[in-house]
Amino acid sequence: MSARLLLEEWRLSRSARLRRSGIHPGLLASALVAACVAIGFAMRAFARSGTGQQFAQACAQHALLAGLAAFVYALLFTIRHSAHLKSSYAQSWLRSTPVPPSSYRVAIAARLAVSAAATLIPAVASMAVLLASSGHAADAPSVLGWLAGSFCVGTVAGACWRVPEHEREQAESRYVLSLRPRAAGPSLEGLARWPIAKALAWHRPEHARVLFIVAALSVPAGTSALLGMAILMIWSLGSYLAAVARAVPAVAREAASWLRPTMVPFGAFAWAILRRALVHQLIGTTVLCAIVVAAGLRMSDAVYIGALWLTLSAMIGTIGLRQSFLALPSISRTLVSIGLALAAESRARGAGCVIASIVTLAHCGVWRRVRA
Amino acid sequence: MYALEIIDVHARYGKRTVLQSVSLQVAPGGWFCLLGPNGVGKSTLLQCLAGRVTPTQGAIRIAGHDFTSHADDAKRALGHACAPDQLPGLLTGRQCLDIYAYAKGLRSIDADVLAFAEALRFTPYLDHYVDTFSLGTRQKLCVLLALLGRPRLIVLDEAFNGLDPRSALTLKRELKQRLEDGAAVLLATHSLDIVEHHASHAALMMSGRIVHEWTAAELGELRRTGGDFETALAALSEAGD
Repeated sequence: MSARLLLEEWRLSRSARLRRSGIHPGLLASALVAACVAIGFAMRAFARSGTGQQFAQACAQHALLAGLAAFVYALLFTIRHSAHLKSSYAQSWLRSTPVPPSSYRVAIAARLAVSAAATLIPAVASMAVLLASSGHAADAPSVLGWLAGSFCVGTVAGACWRVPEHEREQAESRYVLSLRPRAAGPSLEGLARWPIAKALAWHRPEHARVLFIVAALSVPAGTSALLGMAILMIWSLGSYLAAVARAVPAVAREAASWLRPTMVPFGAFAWAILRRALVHQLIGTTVLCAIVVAAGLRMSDAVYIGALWLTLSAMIGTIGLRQSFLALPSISRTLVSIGLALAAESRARGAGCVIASIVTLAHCGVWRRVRA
Repeated sequence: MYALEIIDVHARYGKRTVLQSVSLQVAPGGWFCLLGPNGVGKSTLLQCLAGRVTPTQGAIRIAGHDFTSHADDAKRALGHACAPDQLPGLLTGRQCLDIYAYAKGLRSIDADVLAFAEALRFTPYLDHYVDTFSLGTRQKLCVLLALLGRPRLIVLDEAFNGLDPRSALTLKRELKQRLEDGAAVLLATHSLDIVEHHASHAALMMSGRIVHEWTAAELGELRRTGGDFETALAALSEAGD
């Protein structure tokens, strides 16, 4: 009875979260059906390609290996998910109610089963379509049997796995990187880490999952594995760089408000926040350029796009920093500047970079200005 | 010279006027308590002192330095405890102290602040992230930040909220010590025991104005006679409504 209460509470909180996101259940169901149909067609197309044929043949020949992979995946996934559920129920607002521990165990088991089914059913269905479409229908029962059976065994084993007490401790924060040794005296080093921590917080899997789905669906059918990987990496790295660019003004606003009662000069403040973000932008853009060159883009085009992005991100950062430091809004100025730079770029190649650089320098011209 | 002079300050949020002709002075060694119901402008007045809200009229002087024309000198003499929810959640307690100390131009974190952190039992939290802190622990960090650099004016907004009794007592003792060293304290609070036992001056704010001030002599008289400050305050609040 109490387990049903816990599951009902979970169902309600899930549907409330959907409602708050403005997602209508009907729309979600339609999207899921559309995604299933699309994946089905994609799997069929993949099965008829050379790579798909080879993959299906490999699966048919090595059903045991596929089962082992499914077992390991299910085991690791369930151990982690189970630990997370135990931890969240330990902090639950219902903890003070007389719900017996057995009900929590039942609720956790039910939720693990739902999660496992949500992974297993699409995987089995996709594999079935793949095998049927590639002419290996006869091998389907053994492959699917191994896959489903091993997955279920892995899930049960993962659910029964007892995490040692000392490993059950939660990290202090899920949002940030581990600490490095700090500087000897007071410094603004913490400010430099802040935009990166914020970008990583925005980039956590539960926030980035929609992006990854879009990225996965953006790989055209018949694409080579290498190109597919390159497309996924471009999406992933591109979104991270965009998150870092967005984090700088956001952190500048919070930090400027927090440090308002102090005499921190603009130069030290801006450089501290911008420094590490710029390094990440530089490295990320270089890697991104290398990927797009490997994917077939001309080197000169890749360098040009990279330079444009770097100047735009520096411009966004400096506008945000300056405006926040002076306690002024930055969004309209940023949008107008981006629009101006892109409009100039559409007229002449390289003009956008020049405009962005000028705007950046203009916003750096307040080094000695003191806040009112 | 006063530690704080607020002269005819007006402030508004958009079209809504929140402070109207507020004037007060706090002398060195004085503990000034700002009282009043929620939403009467106490925190806005403190935000003006922090520079987060710009007065539309009037002047603020901290340790004799005008807050508008000599902002750096004024801020050097100011120790402002921000609201706990304004602390950066993605930084550790130590990083917050480091950044604030640097921003105040200090070469190192004051030894007495670290000793006070130990007295508040905050030291174990120094390397923890602020987003994992409870309200009381955040409050301790806010106070520690305010005390960095031995400020001549300490501004606290509901600083005793969420503090356990032992930590609250430790903070009161620390503030008393700072007062003896010549600093001044401006505290917005609803805790009447602080007014009754520790404050040298107090003022009641209603609808953005100071409607009543208690001098040191009046507060002393109340303490001597065991007067009911709570009843007096309630009567004044009702009259102000």
